[in-house]
Amino acid sequence: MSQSQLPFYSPSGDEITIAMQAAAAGLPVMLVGPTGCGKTRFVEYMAARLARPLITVVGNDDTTTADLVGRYLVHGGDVNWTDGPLTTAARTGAIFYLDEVVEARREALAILYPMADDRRCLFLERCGETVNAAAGFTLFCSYNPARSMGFKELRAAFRSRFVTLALDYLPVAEEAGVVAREAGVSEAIGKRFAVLAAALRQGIGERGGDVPSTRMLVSAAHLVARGIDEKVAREVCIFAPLAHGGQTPVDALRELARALD
Amino acid sequence: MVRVVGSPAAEGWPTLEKAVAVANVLVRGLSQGRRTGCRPMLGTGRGFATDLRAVFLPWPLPAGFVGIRLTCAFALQAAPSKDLVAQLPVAHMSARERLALQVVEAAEAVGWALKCWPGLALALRELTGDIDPLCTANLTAAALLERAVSLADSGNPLTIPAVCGQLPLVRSGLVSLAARRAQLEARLPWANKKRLHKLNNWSVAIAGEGDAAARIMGQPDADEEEGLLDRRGASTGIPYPEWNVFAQRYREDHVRVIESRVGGDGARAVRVDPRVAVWFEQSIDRSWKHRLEDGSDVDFDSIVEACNDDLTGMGNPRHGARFYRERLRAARDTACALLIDRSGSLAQADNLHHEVACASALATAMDRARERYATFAFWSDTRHHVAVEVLRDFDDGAQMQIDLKRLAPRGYTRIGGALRHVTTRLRKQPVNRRILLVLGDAIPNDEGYEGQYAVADVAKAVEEAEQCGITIAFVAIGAPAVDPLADVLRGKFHRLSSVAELAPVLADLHARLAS
Repeated sequence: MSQSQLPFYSPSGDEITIAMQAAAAGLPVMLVGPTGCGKTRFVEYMAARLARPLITVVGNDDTTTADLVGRYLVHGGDVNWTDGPLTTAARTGAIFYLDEVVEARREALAILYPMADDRRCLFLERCGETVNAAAGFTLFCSYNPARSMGFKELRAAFRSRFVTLALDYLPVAEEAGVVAREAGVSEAIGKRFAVLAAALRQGIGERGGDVPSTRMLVSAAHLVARGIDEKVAREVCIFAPLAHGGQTPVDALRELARALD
Repeated sequence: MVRVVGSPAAEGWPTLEKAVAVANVLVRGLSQGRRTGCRPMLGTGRGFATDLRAVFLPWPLPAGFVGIRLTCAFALQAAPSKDLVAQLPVAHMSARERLALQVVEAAEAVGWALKCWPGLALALRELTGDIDPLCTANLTAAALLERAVSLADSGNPLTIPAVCGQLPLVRSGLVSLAARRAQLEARLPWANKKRLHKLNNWSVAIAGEGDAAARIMGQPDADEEEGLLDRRGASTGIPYPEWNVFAQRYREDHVRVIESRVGGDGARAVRVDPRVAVWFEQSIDRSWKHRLEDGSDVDFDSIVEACNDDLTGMGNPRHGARFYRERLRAARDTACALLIDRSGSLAQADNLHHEVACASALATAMDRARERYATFAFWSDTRHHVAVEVLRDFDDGAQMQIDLKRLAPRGYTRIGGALRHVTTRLRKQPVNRRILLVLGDAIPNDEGYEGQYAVADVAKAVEEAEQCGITIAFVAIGAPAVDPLADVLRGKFHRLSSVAELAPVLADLHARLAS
């Protein structure tokens, strides 16, 4: 695949090399990072780099084993097995990405255990079949540590199977570049958003609640690119979403933004 | 114009709590990472200052310091030149030298703020009119001191605008030792027998009005060994351990829990938020539901039955193929214990009123949903007497009423012992899931039970309960200046300002239970 077709991803370290080698070695990769820092984009980028199709499932409280591996469907008098996304990925050697893995039910995660270690196979209990993962199959999972803290935790046995990459928001210069490139705005506007985000994240601190994400900055920059005033864009894309979270003292954040203008 | 979501910009800060929250964000956010661990400290008689560990500000705020002007004051305290001043021996300088140092430093601070926070430029110039901003690259503390000394020698009159604040509090060894001693003695009167004698064995309330007139009942334990000799008679009460965070081990049989039954009368129910009532009716555990139109698994029984019906032409006309099954939430096999803090500190403000409202809402909801539950109230008076009163036991049928009279505040708050006792009670319940709701102001405080020690013990007791498979939620009431448990119990801790906020807490609890 030529470079121009690759999704844009700005690495914060050597995560690309590590993930490439993990995929080559058949190891699953866990991405841990705050919301909107580029986890999904990273997986898209990796799928393009590895030239494999990407199958994404977002975990939630109702994600069952059947939603991952497949189930029997009844057609008239016949009962036919239909592969789920995980089985399809294993058979075709695709990249399987389970987003928000912490949200998925434990019984659904149990099916991933043999898939995530050196067995690299899927036991389809219901049709008595064992699917060996085709070459190229790589499992990516991700979650946001801040959101799951104190609620659901992944079991150590599950976590231990993964090469774990901690992603975080980029430093100001790089984040400015990402914002400018993604939204097609000038470097100067990208820089202003990135500097604002850095100050806000400092202000909110580690335990203070939701912080502005790169995704928010890109959305705001998109609006600016379409002629919306910068102050309005940051209000609707950054402050308003944070305000509805409840925990973040948004008027203090507005003061910080005002100090930057 | 876009409507501003949330409260309008901080033009005036109504409450101390709000001020601390806003100051917290501004101090850290303006400093580019230099004040990350800094806490804002407010107080009468303070000026704007920082010793790098805290940023001080006057409270109530001086006139005119609202909105952007206040942000300016914080920005100046976040300046890198403040870090340089902290390295200088300010205590050994003369008053004029100190003032000169302030003037010299203020120029650098203003220069830095103008450079990094252009939005403040207008307000800053207005507030610091006389100061010529400087922004020296690679400034050192020595250079700053040199400039200050030469300015002091110059004989010019020196003035400093209020927004630039003060030098950090002078800390020389002697002063701080004496202050430390005074602080210790004020906080731990029982740590010293002589002082205790002087106090005439009056117990001292740390939070709230307390039971100011109550005498300390047990002997004060000067050390752990003495604690073993309980002169009041060790036979009363159920012994429980307490976690000693400093020694990293349990103090075995350290507290005595005395459980008593409080007689109940037939009661009237209170009005309850329907969301609260509904919560106790929600099922938590999953079981197979058959004959569904869609599901994760095929329901062979229904297929076979349908085929039979087709072949024999016997069965009921079907309205659609229902050949699937799914594990759905269907059962609720739970026991819930409600532990209510009735210690003296609840007497403050409207706290007790809120607590009673929350407790009776929960109790009424549980009654209505026929939840298996018990209600306990607790208070303590030293480690020898942690009272746990049973207002309603698990097997009681009658409705109970929780009113102000029943929960009249008394004594202190040794939460750990009460938690351990209720955990034990809850464990004996023959159910699948156990829930423990703790209601109170969440400020642990008793004789020899405060600060880090108490917080660690509560955290330990919560950990023990969770190891037994109990799901815990702390529902805290009131708005204290410090909230010691909020951090260690993150995820299980909710501070409410009204009974209306109870529903989201339960929703959160449900998410944890049903995961």
